[in-house]
Amino acid sequence: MSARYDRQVNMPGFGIKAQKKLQNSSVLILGVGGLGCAVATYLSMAGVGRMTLCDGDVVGLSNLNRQFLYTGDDIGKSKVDCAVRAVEKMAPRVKVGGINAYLTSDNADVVVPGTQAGSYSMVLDCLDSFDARKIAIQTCFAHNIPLLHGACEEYQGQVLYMDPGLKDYVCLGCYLEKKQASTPMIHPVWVLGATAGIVGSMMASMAVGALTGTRMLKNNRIYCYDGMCQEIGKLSAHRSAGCPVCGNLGSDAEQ
Amino acid sequence: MKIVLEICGMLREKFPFDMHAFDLPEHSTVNDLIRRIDGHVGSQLPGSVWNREKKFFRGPITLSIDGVVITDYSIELKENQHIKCNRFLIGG
Ligand SMILES: [Zn+2]
Repeated sequence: MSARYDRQVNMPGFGIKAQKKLQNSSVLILGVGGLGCAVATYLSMAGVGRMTLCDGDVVGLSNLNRQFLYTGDDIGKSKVDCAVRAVEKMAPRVKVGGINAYLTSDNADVVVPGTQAGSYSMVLDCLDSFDARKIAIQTCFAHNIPLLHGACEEYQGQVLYMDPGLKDYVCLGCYLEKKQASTPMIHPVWVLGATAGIVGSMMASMAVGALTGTRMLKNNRIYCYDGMCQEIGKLSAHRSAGCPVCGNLGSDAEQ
Repeated sequence: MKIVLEICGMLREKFPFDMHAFDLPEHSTVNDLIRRIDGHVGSQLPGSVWNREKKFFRGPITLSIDGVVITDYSIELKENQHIKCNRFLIGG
């Protein structure tokens, strides 16, 4: 095992077995903005085996307060192309690929293929719209792939692990009152770079735990980071048959 | 009956109170509480937070009791319930 991973391999409860699991895992990161940059950085440096980055956007000047995989020289260039290059340089052992497109209902089954060989151990939602998230949740649930959601605005963040393979899972939509699932977001979204870094790091930490089996993640718990008072709260929800996202996906849903 | 509403996170910057006790009639629902919020502070809140036409928050929020989110706003509230209101985040 490379000395590159010594500092984590030697942590109590981690070991070479966990590191090998990480090396054998494959992740898809949807969105390489503020959260995606942090998630891609920490997961690649931790030694994830394969990583695919998906985003259709180009680098803009206003991204540079938080999206640290890019520099001023990258403005106007594809985020995915720049991020793939940055990750390859940072973590040459990781096999990293890119999909230069936004996730849509038309390409969802291609971006997030089923559970046959070549699929993902986990998908990380670093997206910035509820519509795209709805597509990600429905596709991951249909293909039985765990999905780790993150979002951040201003000083606040939220993280939710959704594993359709576990009992009593809920989705992001189960946390919303029905009408609100179609409430448009407020544009533009303001965010402190450090907030995106903290929330992306929480996601990477949880992903490493789940991928290595060293940590069991709670399936019905949204972690709410409040950077105004540096507190992390927790919220839970009941799976709802009326959920606009997962309501029609299973027959065991309860009202 | 007394219902306490606590505003959390960045919404606090926009609300004239962090916590407020509303006096509502028995059998009031979450929808009744929202109407009361509109009557109490709706006109003072910035348009980025409160939609005056719809008399509701602008952008998604969660209302929770004891750490569990409420997704059905027609449920009846109970005396002394403490409801936390938080912005539901979309950005990434
Ligand atoms: Zn749901």
